[in-house]
Amino acid sequence: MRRNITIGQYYPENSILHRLDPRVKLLGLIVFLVCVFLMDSYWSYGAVTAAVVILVIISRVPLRYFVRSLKPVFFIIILTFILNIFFTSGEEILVKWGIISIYKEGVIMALKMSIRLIYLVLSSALLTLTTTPNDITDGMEKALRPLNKIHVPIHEMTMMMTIALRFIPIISEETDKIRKAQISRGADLETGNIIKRAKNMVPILVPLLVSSFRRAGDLALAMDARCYHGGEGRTKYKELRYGKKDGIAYLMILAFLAGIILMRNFL
Amino acid sequence: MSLVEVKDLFYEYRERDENGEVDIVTTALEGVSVNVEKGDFIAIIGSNGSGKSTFAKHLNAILKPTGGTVIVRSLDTSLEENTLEIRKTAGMVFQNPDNQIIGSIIEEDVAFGLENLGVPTDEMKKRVKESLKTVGMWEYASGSPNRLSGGQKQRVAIAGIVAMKPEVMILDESTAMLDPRGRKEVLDAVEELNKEEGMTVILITHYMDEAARAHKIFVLHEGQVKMSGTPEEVFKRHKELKEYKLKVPVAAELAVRLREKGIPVREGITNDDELVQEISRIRSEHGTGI
Repeated sequence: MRRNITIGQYYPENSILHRLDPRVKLLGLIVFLVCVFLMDSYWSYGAVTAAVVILVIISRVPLRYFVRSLKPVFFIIILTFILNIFFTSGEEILVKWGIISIYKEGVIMALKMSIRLIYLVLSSALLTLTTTPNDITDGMEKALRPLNKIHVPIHEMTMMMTIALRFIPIISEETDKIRKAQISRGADLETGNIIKRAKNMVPILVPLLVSSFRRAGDLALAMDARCYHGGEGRTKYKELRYGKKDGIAYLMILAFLAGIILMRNFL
Repeated sequence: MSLVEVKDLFYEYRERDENGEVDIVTTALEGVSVNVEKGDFIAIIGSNGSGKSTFAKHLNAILKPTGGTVIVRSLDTSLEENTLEIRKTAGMVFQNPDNQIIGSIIEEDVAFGLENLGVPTDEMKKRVKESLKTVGMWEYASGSPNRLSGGQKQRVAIAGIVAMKPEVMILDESTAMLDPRGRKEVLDAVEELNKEEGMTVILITHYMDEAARAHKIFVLHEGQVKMSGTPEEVFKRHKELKEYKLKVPVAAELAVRLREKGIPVREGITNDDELVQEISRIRSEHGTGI
């Protein structure tokens, strides 16, 4: 079971969104997040909503994956909604009940904030559902490479991410093994309150930590033995190259941003 | 000039106490001399603590000698500036298959060494394909290494070294964590590399039946080379080997004992198949009467 664990939530498909260069998608996400905070008029809400709907459709990822991505933040969305609805004051009272009064502005504010949050999550999900973690890492490395000139260790950071991605399934498999080994020796991991259960995790975490250090040492040796000497003079097996569709996508992203800014200023 | 020349190699592990003073000195290697010619397939065998892994780590400059010299393709490993060139010449496959695969996708992992060397992308693609084909793993190229068996992972690791086109490949107990099938897979791949591509192979192991495949065996015990020779020559001295906590393959020992009993079993038998063939030959020549 654990062998097949997938990191992130990549959904294999062959849509245009899947095939776009990860750098385009990364920029697209950033622009989109900015737009979500720029939107104020109903027009701009409409435009952003249309963009989300279109992107979700052309990604060809089943809708339930997007719904699933919203689950972890569901509580935060509800909380934001409640806080806004009760604590925003305005002129037009809709409901008055004791000291609690709900204003029309409150309802609008609550809706706006919830929509923003939902769009934030959906747009990140669009990236992670259509791009493998490795592609995201490669995209970041290439896009941020110019920062190397001001001594930001981009290559080292992305190498760490690559290694982390590679070892997550291995470590998780190992955790499982240690767990079973400890349970078979009579460790009680299931009962007790939260504090007791947290304490019971120690016999799992200590061996895991020790073996992770050993792994790190081995891996460093193996990398050395294969002539690893940092990012200098390194070539890439999979060199990212822009295609025609990537250029078009860039233009569309910029046009979208311009549109939202115009709407903010003139509508 | 030999490809690898190890002369009078000494190595000491130094453990330091809290004050940084040298506390315990353990001598792992005491005057080891080994020469490896191009195209050779040699095995270094020894039980736990014999110093065989320490020896292996000297061959690609992971460890530097305390005394003596290690020369790889006329490069001295003790000089810092030679390190990269030596590692290009001597590729090393380690014990744990999981801890030496760096890429999340098999072909990308094989390419890792080439990326480090700065090989152009087109050339890299060609070499990755060739080397994965050599070890019979090309059909898995775009898959994740996590789903492979131990033997397959080691073959990927070997492909990663082969792609870098080294002149000598060192296998540092690369089969120790594998099941019998995985061990056979890996050894078959290595043997083929040696035969077909003329790759020089140094196999570090404590399995005698693996060493039997080599052209020449060095027996290491307590940091010293105690015996060396062809597998037949070494296996003949099975009593001596037992002192070094090493076990001769059953077939080889049986052959020696049968000969001692006066049965005309030929010399140089190292594995089961050869013994079975030899016995059936004797039976057809002499009948069952002996």
